[in-house]
Amino acid sequence: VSLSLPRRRLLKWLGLSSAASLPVFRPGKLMAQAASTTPNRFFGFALFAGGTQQENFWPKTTATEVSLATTPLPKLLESFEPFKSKMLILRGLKHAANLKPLDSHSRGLSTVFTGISPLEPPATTLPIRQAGQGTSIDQHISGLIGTSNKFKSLEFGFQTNGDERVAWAGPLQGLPAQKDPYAMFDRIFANFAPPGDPAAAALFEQQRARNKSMLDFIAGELTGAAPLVGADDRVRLEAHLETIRGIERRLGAGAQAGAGCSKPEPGTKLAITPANGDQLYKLAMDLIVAAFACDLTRVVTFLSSRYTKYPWLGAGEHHEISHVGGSDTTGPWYTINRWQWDQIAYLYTKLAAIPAGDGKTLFDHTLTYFSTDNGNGKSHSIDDVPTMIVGDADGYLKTGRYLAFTGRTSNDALISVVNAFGSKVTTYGNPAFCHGALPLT
Amino acid sequence: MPRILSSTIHPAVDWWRSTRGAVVVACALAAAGCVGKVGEGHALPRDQVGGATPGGTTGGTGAACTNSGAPASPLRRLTHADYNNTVRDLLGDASNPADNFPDETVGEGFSNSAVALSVTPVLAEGYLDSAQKIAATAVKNLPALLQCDVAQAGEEACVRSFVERFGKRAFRRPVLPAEADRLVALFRSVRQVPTEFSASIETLLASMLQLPQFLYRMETGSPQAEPGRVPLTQYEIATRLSYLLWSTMPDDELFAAADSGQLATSAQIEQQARRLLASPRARAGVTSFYLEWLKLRGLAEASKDAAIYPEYSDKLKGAMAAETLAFVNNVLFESDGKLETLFTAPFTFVNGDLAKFYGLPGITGTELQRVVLDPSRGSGVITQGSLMAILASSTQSDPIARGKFVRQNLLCQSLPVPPNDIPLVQDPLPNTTTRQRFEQHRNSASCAACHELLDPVGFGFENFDGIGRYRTMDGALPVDNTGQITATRDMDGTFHGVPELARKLMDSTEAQECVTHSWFTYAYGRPPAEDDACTLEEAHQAFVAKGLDLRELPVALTRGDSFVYRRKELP
Repeated sequence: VSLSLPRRRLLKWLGLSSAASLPVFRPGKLMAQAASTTPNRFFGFALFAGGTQQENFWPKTTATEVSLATTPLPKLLESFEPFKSKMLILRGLKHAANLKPLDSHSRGLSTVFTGISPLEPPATTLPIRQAGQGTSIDQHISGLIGTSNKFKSLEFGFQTNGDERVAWAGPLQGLPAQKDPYAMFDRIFANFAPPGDPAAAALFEQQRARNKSMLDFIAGELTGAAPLVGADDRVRLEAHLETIRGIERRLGAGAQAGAGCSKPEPGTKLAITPANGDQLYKLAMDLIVAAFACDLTRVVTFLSSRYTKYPWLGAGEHHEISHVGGSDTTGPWYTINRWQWDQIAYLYTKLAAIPAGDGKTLFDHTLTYFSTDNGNGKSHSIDDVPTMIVGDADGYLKTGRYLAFTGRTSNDALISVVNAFGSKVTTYGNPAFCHGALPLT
Repeated sequence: MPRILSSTIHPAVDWWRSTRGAVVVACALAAAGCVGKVGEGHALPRDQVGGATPGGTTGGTGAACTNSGAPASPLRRLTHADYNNTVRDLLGDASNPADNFPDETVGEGFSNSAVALSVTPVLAEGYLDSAQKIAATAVKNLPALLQCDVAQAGEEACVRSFVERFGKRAFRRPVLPAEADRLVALFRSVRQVPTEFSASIETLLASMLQLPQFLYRMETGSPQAEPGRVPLTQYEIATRLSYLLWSTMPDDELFAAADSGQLATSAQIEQQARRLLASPRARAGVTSFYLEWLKLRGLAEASKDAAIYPEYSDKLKGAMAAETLAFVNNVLFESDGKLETLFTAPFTFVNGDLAKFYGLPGITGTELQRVVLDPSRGSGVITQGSLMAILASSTQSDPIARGKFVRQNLLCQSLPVPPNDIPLVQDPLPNTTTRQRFEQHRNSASCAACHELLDPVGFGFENFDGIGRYRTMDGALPVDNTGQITATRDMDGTFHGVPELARKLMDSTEAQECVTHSWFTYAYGRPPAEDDACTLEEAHQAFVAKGLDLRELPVALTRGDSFVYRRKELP
């Protein structure tokens, strides 16, 4: 009973090598690495819990398609004015994979980027938040564009709890979000040898040589231990082994020179408390910019927690405020969401100021997918989920538009996003809720 | 049929099988549309229960329960607490390096759940970083680490003796000859890079601290298998004992017992369990069960609206946490250890700040002092500010959370997962009570089906506001502390206030069994399954026989077959 057949089967998916036993829900076959042109950075942004304020997220129109060049941006997104030609505001998408008309945030966490709802009792004894059973698009994309970078992906969080995971390397393999930008800084820039510093490079090389023997040995012992344990435990050991290989890869990879690459100075350490939230958020944004600029990673997710509190705005908890809701532009529901969007605009402004060396900027190379757990936080509706893509993938997506759909799902948006990175999948997550890519190209 | 296994009210689901996935409550309520998955995969026919001998004893030591079960034994990674304690005992490194690892808090259940303890990329980096720091510190005193004269014995001989001596403690079993060869070869390859001798030892040590043999509690079992199962080795039993009770590696005495085969009978194992439990070290391991079972670790996350609760400062929270810790430790290690005391004791420990907050006169200073409470108000850990503040929103008390706590944590009932936190109730209004506002959402039929289970239980807690202060008025209106509990096996009915509910719980077989069930889940890193029936049954009988002495449970749980066997997994 404790290890039910469905779970055993699911865990097998982690092997990912045997084409003969490809599971039904697994994302389609990965295509060869995308061309080196745009887009080559992915930013996944998830706002939890209770979504964002719908009333001020959609443009004021009843049309199913409008150009953002001629229609004023919705109030929440006013700061995106410089970027509107690259935006796709998508309405009418449903989180169908969540299965239930009214859904919990817990289920949403592992669904928004995977397109498949988590395992639930009695199929698992894990808490629902740890029982995601898909691979999230960031990890899928990272397999396409991010395998030669120091970090396959980076998972940022804002005021997240330990058990909140929006990025999933595979079934039951949630990747914890790091809410402490200082710890993230230490991680990203450990052994960082800025281009053109031979002393630092020599130190880096010494350490690399020493660590290689160690990591090879650990990998060998993990491989040797696998036959000694049961099938399910073997999957965990294999996942552990994969992390060791990731560290080895990282040790081999250096930073690449880029015009905007520099090690940021995080300044005086602030306590990781809600009271410092506005500054910690900004630090995280700065780190994302630096990691992209130095090409330390190509893939970043950012999860704003359901527990986020906004003392600097005089507002309480995101989730609780979402339940009060309101359509006005003066109350806390608007205020906190507007603040969130303004921070993303800040990130874009910084990315847009960094030349990519090909006449474009880092912003031009970045594609963002934004989603949230509920369409409407007050009612927990999973209809009409505020969804947005920013970035045109080198003209692949026809941006600068607002589109309203009927009968389409957020799975379809996931298909569109991964296809923009050169994947050719026709389904993503649970195929039962897929209708193919959205007409965005 | 042993008493516990005969579930007269919900015959489809025996209590011990009511894992978080099983749906005891749902059985009663499926018709109301609360949940659709009744007993899927769980309601096995009774005759499939291994070893559940008909006509078993009640209250005895379980001699009638002969177990032929083949218990699961999922691979258990060291928890962060285990890791900190283990490196402390292994190398004297008290820097608590795991405090820098990514948080492994879980929303529900216990944070030591084996299947949840995986190694993510960030954790692997944490292990690497920690191992390198620990090793760098350890090689500063190389002679003490190696305990070998390199000049006389030669490098490789010293390395081999180090690998065997240190490796036995790090892997918690003798190092296999082939393993020793591999470790010596690793040293040799690093040394040839070339690397200084000391730095080569450093790399060897850092490597050993990242091996599966160290990070996981590998249980391969003895060669002499029985049908379907294999007995654990003496070292594996020693390791189970020390992590269960001390959250760390075995001490010298346990190693010696394992070396000489003195963990072969349940009496020998019990003797060691009692020795460990009597040590001050048991406090950390045992207390953490209560902190997790009773959700008390949630206090750090429980923040309040400062406009409504200006008194609720970090300092006050700290005092509340200290109060609960002191109380739990007192019950377990200084008082009688009884479930009754934990749930209903009319005393607690407060300092000056907390006394002022609770309105208790005559206490000053920062030291915690024992105070006697009005038994019509205070009831053990359940009415403490910490728990009541955790089970509340930022603006008001939360009868839903309180009802859910009673069902899930104290009765081990599983509630349907979603919608687990809707709808949120209106903020406090001047002319309504919390109770009235929460009753509104039950006007909706879809909400009512489940909330009938939750809210009426939580209403019984209404004497405690959103930060755990006792109150008789909710705003301008008097508090109605009438609660009602349904869908239980033996404690349905109305009650008034928490002390009455706590007494009902204490007397309830369902709640008592929940304690055993929870302890098992914590002790084994997994919920019990049918192969554990006898171990669980015997442990519960011992708990009951000792007058519900909580201290008996961790010892009793080492007595059964589940503690000394593992399932023979198919390759």
